[in-house]
Amino acid sequence: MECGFVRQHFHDLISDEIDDEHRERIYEHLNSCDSCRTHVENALAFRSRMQELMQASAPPGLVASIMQLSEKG
Amino acid sequence: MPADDRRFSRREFDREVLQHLDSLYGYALHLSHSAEDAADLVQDTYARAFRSYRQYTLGTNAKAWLFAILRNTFLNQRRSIRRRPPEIHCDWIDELEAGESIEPDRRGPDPYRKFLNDLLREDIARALAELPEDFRSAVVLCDVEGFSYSEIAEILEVPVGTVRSRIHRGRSRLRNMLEEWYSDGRGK
Repeated sequence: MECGFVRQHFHDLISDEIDDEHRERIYEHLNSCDSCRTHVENALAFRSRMQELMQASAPPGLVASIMQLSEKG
Repeated sequence: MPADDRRFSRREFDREVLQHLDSLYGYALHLSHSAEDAADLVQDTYARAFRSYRQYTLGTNAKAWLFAILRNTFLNQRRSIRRRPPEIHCDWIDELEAGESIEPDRRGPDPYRKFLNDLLREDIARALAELPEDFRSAVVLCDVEGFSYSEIAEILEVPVGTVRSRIHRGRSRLRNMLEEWYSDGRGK
């Protein structure tokens, strides 16, 4: 029953778009369900790796041209 | 006059919008799959933003506002130019590497970890590129840029329920494409 509740709210939990009451109920279940806990931990870890690896730096030429645009007003 | 109606000085405005340059460039890479087109998109975005300075008021979410301009610019260009089919080149993926933080590590550089990072980065970028643009934007804005569902709804001009559904479906497709990384712990 509780595994279904985790599944239902899984993506909102990963996105941190879940209310406190639901979060509490899910984390209580994760304490006793290895399968759901692994699932949630993997998803959170993957999201964090993706965030880290997908960062970009604007190339210097682009930064310079944007600064010029800004100075022109 | 309420604080939110106060205008930014031009200097404050510039400082506010310029801090999002790297993030905008990253999103532009995911939309255009070309370093050159991404740079043009970002430049057009800032040109429009600077022109709109007088409409900008304190309290506007600058990052969401800029991302919305960038995506609209991209969609307008795509509609008007009938661009090439979505052929996936690799040069834009290298641009993502430029942003990788150098993790302080007392053991010194770890070539194996760097190798895995490079592989994972390329696989994620390619998998994201395979998603339809609507799903890709929702996932990148949520999982890479950290926008809330309501901010993403504002950027994509769709209801929050649609955002939620695109994120759920986009992530599920990504997971299928990246299953190997996802479950064996190497993605950690």
